[in-house]
Amino acid sequence: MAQTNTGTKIPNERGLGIYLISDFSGVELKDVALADALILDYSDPIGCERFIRQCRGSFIGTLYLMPVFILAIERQIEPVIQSMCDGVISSTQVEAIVSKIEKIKQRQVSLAPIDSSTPEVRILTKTMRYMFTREAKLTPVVDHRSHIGYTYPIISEHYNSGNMQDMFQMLENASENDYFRPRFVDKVHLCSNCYSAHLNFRETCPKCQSADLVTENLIHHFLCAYIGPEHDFISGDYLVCPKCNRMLRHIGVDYDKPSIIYNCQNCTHTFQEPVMDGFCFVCQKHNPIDSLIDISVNAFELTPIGEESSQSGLSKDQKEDVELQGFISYTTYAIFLKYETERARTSPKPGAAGSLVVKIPQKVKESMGSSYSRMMAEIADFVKNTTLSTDILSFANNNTFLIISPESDRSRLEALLSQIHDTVSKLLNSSLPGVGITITYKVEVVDGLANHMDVINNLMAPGRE
Amino acid sequence: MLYDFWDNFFYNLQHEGLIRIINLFWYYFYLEAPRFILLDLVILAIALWPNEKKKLRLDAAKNALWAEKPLVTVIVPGKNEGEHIYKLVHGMREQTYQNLEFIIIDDGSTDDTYMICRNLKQRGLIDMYLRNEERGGKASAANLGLRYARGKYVVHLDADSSFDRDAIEQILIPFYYEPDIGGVGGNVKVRNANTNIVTSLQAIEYLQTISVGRMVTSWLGIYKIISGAFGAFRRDLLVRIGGWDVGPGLDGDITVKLRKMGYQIRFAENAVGMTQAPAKLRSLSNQRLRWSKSLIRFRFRKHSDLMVPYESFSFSNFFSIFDNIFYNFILDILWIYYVIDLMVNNFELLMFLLPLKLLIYTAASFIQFLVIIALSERGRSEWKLVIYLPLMMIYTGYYMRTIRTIAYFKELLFYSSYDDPWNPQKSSKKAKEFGL
Repeated sequence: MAQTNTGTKIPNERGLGIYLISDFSGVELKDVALADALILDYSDPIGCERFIRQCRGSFIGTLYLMPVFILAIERQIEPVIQSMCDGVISSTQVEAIVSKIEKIKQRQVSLAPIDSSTPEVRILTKTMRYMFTREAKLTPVVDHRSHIGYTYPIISEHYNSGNMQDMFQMLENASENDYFRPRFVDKVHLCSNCYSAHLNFRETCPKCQSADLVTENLIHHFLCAYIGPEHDFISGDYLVCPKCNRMLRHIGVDYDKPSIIYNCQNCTHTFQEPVMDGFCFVCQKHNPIDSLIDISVNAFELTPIGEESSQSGLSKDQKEDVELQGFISYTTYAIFLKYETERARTSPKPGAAGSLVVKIPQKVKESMGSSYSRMMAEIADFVKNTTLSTDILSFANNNTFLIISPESDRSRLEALLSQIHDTVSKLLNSSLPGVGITITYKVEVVDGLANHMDVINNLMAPGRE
Repeated sequence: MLYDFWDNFFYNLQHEGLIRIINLFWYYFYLEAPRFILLDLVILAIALWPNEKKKLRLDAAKNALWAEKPLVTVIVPGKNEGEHIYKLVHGMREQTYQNLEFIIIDDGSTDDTYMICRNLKQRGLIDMYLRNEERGGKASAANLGLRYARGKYVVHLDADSSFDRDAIEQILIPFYYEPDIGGVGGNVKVRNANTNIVTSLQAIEYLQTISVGRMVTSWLGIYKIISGAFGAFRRDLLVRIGGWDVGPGLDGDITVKLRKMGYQIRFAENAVGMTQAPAKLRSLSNQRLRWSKSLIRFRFRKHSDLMVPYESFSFSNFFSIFDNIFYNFILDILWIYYVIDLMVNNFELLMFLLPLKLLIYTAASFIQFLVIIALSERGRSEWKLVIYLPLMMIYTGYYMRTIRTIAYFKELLFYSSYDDPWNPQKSSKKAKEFGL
């Protein structure tokens, strides 16, 4: 076996470039781009997981579509990891997986190059292509580390806790556009503020929301019609009516217990119907049960239209971004960024790129209706007026402002975005108080070493609040 | 033949002479008219005579109420009353007095009361919704409300009632007008007076016996029953007496218990509430049988000590119960004697006496009705009831009297109030066993 930078090449009779990677510290994604398949050694589970996530999270077709197998000898593999690989093997005898690798490769041949527009379309395209090449369904996997309790292979790599609603929206749009056929798997109840499934359900006081409750039986004394909590009646070992001083001897004859009553130990409030509350472990919001967001978690399979579109490109626009005057499209932004990285390679002065993400809970967006677009247009105006005329502005995903400051200091752009962040935060928090709006920003240096797609991916990742 | 009848009638009227007629009508002229016509009119005239001092005292009482503005707990016990509760709670938002704590007690409802009350609670329209899965009876439901009430005063309402905008304010004023007021009764009128003749007659009856009758007994200090449909109490006193006892008849019982403690009971004629009267003769009969039985059960048996001198004997309490017993029970028995006496000794005069009685009763009712209408805050709409006045003789003179008499005998002989399904058997059985 030949030891290379990409790992150990496993010889096989079909001459495929299958590499076994056991030491993940020295391997980079770009090193394995030309391999036909990878076998990741699960003896280093952390490295293995990190590597396969990088691979499936890439937007480069050869990487995210790469056949990846996991070599696990007497080890239990995390279901999430398993869902991202093409199979688990227990030895380096690769004959059994060769045919699968060839099949994936063969189906890759029919994929036409696509000029993706929005990030959403790019994510959907790569997901559909992954499903197409594997002839597989997109099945959610139970994952306690996931924000929503389930992880979708491939897709979940591009969504973090802050934009889960966008992921569900994308999947719903894809189903509406007939790319996917959904099949119900489960229903999750999510925090209305942050979409987390990590909730603690408990009975709480309707007045002070404390869960420190004590329940007590009510006792009804038939003879004198007195009714009160059990402690009114307790006298040593006996039950004695506080109204008529008679002893209650026999349930059903002298008295009954028609219901129970709750006493809050925190505020002394008395009630019979506690409020079921879902306390969010992530954002610490108290969610009344009926305010929780119910979402059906579905498995998806490609429809014939989906299969066709995964090869030739999406025939319908998945989702139109709001168009704002003075803002270029996301595709054009990517091209500009590519030019800027190329410029930086030949110039001593680097540039800077930044993003500002305004996250508003889906419920609030829906309740705002058309005023949401108006509000974003106003923020866009502010961004436009605050930035320099030489800055290149784009608006993506209906919530992300992207900026390129050519030949500009990172610190200048950072100061600028910080100023925009503060002003927009103040504005939104005063007009929409307490609805859980988060605004984050991020700045990346665009120098000669930068890859424009990496820069974009980094800008899209959660930023500073 | 009709001509002969009227000819005989007027002939007799001319020739019998006033004294002879009064003697023939001794029952009415010596017993009923002095109490229910003359006394009522005299007391009303005294009570309502323009009195600047009284007006100033009333203003002062009202100011004292608003200066203190105490928390008032409104308790509404009921079973399967969801629809009424919804209307009641929304109606109560119109009240001028708003420092209210609303407690609804659901006594084992089997309809959608739970859903309705839950919704009202979630919307903050009621403060507490207490539900007993097992029905315990009205007394226990009211007592559960009392157990968790926090107000200085407790207003007890029936769910199917509705109220004038200032009804709560008006029912509270007497507590600030005089010292030692333990409870105040509201002025309950019939809301569905126009439904049919049964409800129209009840509407007149309520005006006579509640609006005017209670104003008079209250002035005399012998007012004896705070209606369960609308009454206000000092909470501390209710707690001291342990709240309501097993019914039926718990309204009168609790009033007597407060009187026995030495507290005054007043009627607030300006605190107007409307209730839904039974529209069918059968349900009206059942209701009145139940009410009348409680006279025997509570006045004769449970509170018979009021009639004998004992250490805390009070004349007002004695007269309050005496008035009740004499004019209801004793006169009913006497009435049977009177009818038999007429039939045996003056049978030939019956054809003369019956139309004469109708004439006298209707004339007296008309005078009384004129006074009621003049005093009423909604006299214009109540005036329409005047056409039913001639029927009141049959309604009160025969129908109600018969019902009352049946009820008294059933209760005296068979203790039948303890078998009334109005109260759950588990409680009635125990109450009967201990003679409560």
